[in-house]
Amino acid sequence: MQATTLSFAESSFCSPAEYQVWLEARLPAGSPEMGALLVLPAYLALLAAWRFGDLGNPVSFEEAISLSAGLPDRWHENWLELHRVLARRLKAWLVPGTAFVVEQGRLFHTCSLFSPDGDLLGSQRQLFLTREERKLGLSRGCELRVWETPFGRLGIIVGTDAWYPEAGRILALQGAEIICCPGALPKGESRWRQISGIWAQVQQNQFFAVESQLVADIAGQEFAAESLVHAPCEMTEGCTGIVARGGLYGSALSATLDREARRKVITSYPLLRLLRPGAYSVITESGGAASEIP
Amino acid sequence: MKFRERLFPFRLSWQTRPAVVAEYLQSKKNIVRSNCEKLDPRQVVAGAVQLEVKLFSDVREYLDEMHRFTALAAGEGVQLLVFPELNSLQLLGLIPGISKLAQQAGTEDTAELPVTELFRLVGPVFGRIVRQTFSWLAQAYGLYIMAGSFLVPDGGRVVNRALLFDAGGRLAGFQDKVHLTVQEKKWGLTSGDSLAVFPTPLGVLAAPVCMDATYFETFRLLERQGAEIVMVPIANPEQYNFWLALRGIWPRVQESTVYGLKSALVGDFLGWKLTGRAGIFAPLELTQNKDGVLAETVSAVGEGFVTATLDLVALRQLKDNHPYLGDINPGLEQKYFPAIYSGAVPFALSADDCSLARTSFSG
Repeated sequence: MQATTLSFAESSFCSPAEYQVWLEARLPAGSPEMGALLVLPAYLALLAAWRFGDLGNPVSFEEAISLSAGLPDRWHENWLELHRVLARRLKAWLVPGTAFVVEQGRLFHTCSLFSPDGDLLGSQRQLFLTREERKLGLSRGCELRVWETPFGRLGIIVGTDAWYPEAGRILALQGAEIICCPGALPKGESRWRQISGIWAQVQQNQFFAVESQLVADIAGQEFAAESLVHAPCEMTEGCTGIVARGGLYGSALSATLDREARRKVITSYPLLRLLRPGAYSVITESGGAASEIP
Repeated sequence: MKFRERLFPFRLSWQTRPAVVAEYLQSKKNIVRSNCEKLDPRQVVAGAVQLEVKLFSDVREYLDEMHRFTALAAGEGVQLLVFPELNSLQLLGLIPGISKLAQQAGTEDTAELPVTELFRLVGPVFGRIVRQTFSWLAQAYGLYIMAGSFLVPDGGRVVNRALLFDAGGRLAGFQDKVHLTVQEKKWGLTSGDSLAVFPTPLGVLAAPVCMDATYFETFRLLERQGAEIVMVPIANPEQYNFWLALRGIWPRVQESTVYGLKSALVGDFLGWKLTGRAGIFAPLELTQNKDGVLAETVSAVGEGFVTATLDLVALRQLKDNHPYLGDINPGLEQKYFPAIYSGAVPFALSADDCSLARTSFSG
C-alpha cells in the first residue's frame, strides 16, 4: 500500500482554484482497486483561509485561529467539497489536514477522512490540548474512531495527541493498523520532540503511521519539520523505525507499507499481548511491605 | 532428586553464610561517606552502573564487584545508585558444574533451562546475600541503592524483583516486574500485579523492571502516584541497536516528565548476549542538547558508569508549565479505560460525549 504526504513547502496558492491545481500537480493517483492514502498536514484549512484572504489581516497565529472560528459554515462546506472532489479524482483515501471547527458552540481541532469515492467517512477531534490551545478556548474530543479500509483499519491522531500515548493505545486496541498524523511543529523545535511523539507511539503499538508535517508560515508563525512514515523498528532498514522521511522542500513524500512484514514482527514480538491491564487498576501508595520480602 | 542435589542448598548456604559475607565486607577500609547528609532538591546526584556479567565461584568476588562500583559512585558524590536487572546471575558460579554448562551454552535451547526450579532452590540464599550486601553498602557509604532486580521465590512463585535500600541500609521497598517477556513466561516466572512509588528525601522514586518500560502505562501510573525519578534495571538479550534500545525508558521519560535512570547488565552469559548502555535521562527541556540525555555510556559492551545531577525543582516547574504535556481528558479515560484492554469498547462508537467527568485513569 502506498502512502503519501505533502508538506506545502514552497507553495504559494492564493485561491481555492490555485490550491486545487497546485495539489493535483503533486499528488499521485491511487490504484483503482485499493486507492492510495494521502495525508496532508495540520492547520491546512487555517493556512488556506489565511492565504485566500478570508481571515482579514491577523497579526499573530493565535489571532488567526480565533478568526478562523468565525468563518461561516459555508466556508467549511466548500473546503470539504473541494477535498471530496479531489479524493474521487485521485481515487485516494484522503486525510485533508486539520481545521478549527465550531460545533455546538465549542471550538475543536478536527481532521476528516474521505474515501476514494469522495464520501466523507467521518472526522477525528484532537483529544488533548497544549497550554496555548487551552488559552485559546479549544475543547477536547472524547472519542477515537477507526475506519475499515482495504489496507487495514485506519485511525487518526491529531496534532498535540502525538505526545499522548493514550491515543495510540486506544487505536491499537481497536485494531488500527495505519495511523494518519497531521502535524505542525514550530520551526526550530528539536527533532527529538518528534521522535518522542509518533515514533514512540508506533514502537509501543506496532502500527504504521504516516506523519505529515506542515512547512509553511501562517500569520508570522513558521512551521517546519520533516514528514515521516513510521513502522515497527524491526521491519525498517537499520531498525530506525522510519520507512521514509522528507518533505522539507516541497515534493511529495511516498512510501510503501508492507502489511505482511508488520504481521511477522508482531508474531515474533507480540507487544500488545503482553499488556498487564490487571496491574493498571491497582494503584498502591507504597508497594509491598519491605518486611515481607522473602 | 539425588542425595548430592539435596545437599547442595545446605552447602551453598554454608559457603555464603552471613558471617562470611559480613567479615569480608567489613574488611573494606577507608569507608567514610555520607553523600545523603546534605540534601538539595536542585542537586540530586545519581549514578547508573553498566555491569559486565561474570560467573563468580566465590561469593567474595561478587562482594568485591558490588563494592567496587559503590565505592566509585560514592567517591563521585552519588546519592542514588542504580544496578542492573538480574544482578545475582553472577552467583550461579557458586553451583558446581555451572562453568561446564556455560561452555556448552549456545548449543542448547536456553528456553528450556529450568530457571524457575533453579531459583526456587538457590533464590533464598542469593536473596539473603544480596540483601546483606546492599544493605551494608548503602549504610557504609550513606547513599540510596537500587540494587537491581533478582529472581526470587515468593511462596510458590518466582518473581523478578527490584530492591531499594535507603542510606541507612534499610530496605525501602521493592517492585516485582509487571510485564514479563515471552521468554520469562516460558520459564514460568510470575508477574507483579501493581506499580509502587517510594517517597524518600531524595524525591519520589520508582523501580519498574526492564520490559515494564516498554509500556506507557507503567510510567503514567507511576507519574500519577508522584514519581519523579524512575529507575529501570535492564538485561537485554539482543544485539545492540540504538533505535531498538531507544524504545524503552527514553520515550517514557518524555511522555511522563520524570527523570529516568537505566542500569544495564551486559556480556555473554549461558548463550545469551546481553547488551545495553547505562544512562540518565530527562525531559528534553532539562537537557543541554535538547535530546533527553544527561549522561550515557559510550559503548553497549563492557562495563561502564555514568553520573548526572538531577534538578527536581526544575522538573516540578516544568511539569506545572510544560508546553505540550500535562493535559488530562477525563471523558476519554472514562470511555476507554479500563474497558479497552478487554475489548469491551465497541468498534463503532457514538458521537463524542464530553459530559463525563471522572479523572481515574483505570476506571
